[in-house]
Amino acid sequence: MIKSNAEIAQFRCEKCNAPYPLGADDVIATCPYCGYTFEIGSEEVEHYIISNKFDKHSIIPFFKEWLKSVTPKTVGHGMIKHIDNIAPTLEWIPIFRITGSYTSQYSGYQRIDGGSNLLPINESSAGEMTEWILARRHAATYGINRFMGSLSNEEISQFKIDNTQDSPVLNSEISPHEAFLRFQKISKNQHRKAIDAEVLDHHFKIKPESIDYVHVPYWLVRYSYQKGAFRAAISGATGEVLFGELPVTKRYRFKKWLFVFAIMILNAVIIQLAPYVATYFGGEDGAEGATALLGVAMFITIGLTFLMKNTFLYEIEVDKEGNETREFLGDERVE
Amino acid sequence: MKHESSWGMRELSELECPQCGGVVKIPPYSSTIVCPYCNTTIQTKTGTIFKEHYMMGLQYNKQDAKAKMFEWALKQLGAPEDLTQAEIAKSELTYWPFWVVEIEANATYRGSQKKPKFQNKEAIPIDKVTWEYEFEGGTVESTDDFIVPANRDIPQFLANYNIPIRRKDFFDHEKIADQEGMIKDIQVDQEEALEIARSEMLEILRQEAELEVESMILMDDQKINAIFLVEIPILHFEYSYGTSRYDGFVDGASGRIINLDFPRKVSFRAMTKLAGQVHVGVGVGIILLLTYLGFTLFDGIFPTYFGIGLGLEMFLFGYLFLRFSRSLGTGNEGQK
Repeated sequence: MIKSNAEIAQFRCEKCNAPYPLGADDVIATCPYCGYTFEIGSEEVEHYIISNKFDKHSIIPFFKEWLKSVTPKTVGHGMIKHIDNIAPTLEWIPIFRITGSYTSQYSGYQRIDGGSNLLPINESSAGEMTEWILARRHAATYGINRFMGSLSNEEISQFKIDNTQDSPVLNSEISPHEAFLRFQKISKNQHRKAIDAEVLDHHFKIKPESIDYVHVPYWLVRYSYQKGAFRAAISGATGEVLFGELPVTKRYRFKKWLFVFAIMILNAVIIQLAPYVATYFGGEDGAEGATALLGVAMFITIGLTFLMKNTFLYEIEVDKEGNETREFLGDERVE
Repeated sequence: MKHESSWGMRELSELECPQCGGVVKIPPYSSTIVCPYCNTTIQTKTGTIFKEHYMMGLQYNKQDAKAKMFEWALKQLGAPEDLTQAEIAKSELTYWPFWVVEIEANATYRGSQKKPKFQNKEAIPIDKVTWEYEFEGGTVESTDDFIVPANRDIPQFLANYNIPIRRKDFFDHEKIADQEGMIKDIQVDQEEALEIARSEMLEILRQEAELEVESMILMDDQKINAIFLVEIPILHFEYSYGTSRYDGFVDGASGRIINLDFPRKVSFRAMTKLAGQVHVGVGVGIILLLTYLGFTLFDGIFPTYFGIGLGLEMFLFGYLFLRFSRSLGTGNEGQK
């Protein structure tokens, strides 16, 4: 058994002397009392914030609005009445906003005229690129990738601890240098992906122009439905729901089941046709036709097993438009 | 007690600490040991002192870690709401050793790439294109940390865990003793860890170079920025809920949940199981009924085939339901 009074290391703020714990991987820390931000073992860091426009009450309408718009397409809007314990929490996520100027040169080819012709591509370009780099080693926060993708040219201002609404401010787990290394890789990949051609050679160089350390407001809304817990992620900058879970309702499950059942009936009809085809055409032709029908039925049955698994879901995951995704629900969680 | 089995064994199982002269026993297969008298880390192969031996401080005590574990469990699929009432049957603190290798690599590659041959800037029909192999070279670079477990008996989920490595202190076996923690033998030595890290780095560089060329040779120029040994405090909980026991592993330095088994809500499970049984029953029923009708009232073909087809599919559906309900018995989630 571990002693409960095991010694826990405490750190004191250089500026206001308040004690607070540093995380195991922290590189840049912010004092939760006075907001003093510094690189551990080094100096103070310039620090920005994207302001949060909501509080625990004003964020809820955005969440409900989203539910209203996405549920009719999926689990049915009837579930909204049975939702309770809506609990939003705000967290400040550390991010490096890096801007750099790049030069790029690439060659390759493009398929044109419906793929019948190849057009040589040989181009060079230069410009500026901005990327948001998550300053954490684990991307464990729910929906964080969607959140990062939603950031564009949000206005930043000087960080003040009073503007954080007493919500947790996560510390950076990577140094500005490491952030830049990530930036180099990500910007090269982004640029390459954006090229509308089969790229054979790609020379890309990027020089950093500015690195800003920014905290961004991220809301996690937890809610319960028939005693099960579900989540949605909302940007505090825009109020946009980035991503959320919906409980699978009886209606949703029945819809999926009915669909599977209809295909099963259809498939059984195909199987029933096989002996008639065999006798109607007779001989070799008939046998071939029957075998083909049974083959089709077999094929449909294999497809059915995947559809059947859809009826077992406990929750589904949808984006802001209400499209179902499988980003966080791995198959291992479904099966 | 000394090993008396053979003369050779005696030399292998003990060594004299180069710092304090104390005689230190070497557990079998250990590559690195800590002198119990003066806390010096010694490499057994060479008998030399190894300075870069660290530990991550324990930041979460048993209560904090337990609270974190259940809070996390509640967010998982079908976990029951009263899970926080579960009783802890056993808790253990173990420091697991890992090698951390930071490599900065600049590599040059040479290889060939299949390219279409264009005469000028105009498009050409795809069936008239000639493809030629062109030789080319370039450089790729990367800087990464690699984590290599130093004990070979490590469970898989722990071996894959991205351990915290930043805010470390020098290794101190007395601190671990104070916390009533256990330690694991360090079996993988520095060279082997380096070798593993190098090959992982090579793979990263190769993937990057393969964007440019198809087959290639890679010439390495790797700089090892840091290599150190770090011990991570891992809390292992065994808790009971209902009549079953479940395991949970929490990182005592960062508070992260590494791996957790948890019970699933009984009602959801029961419903799935019932649905499975109903489908199996209905499936078998359809087969029997329609086959019987086919032979007694009709020509033996209709609706026998239809019945067998639909019945088997119902049966399959039921089987999938039952298999799913069985898998709901224990949930398992970990860091991905």
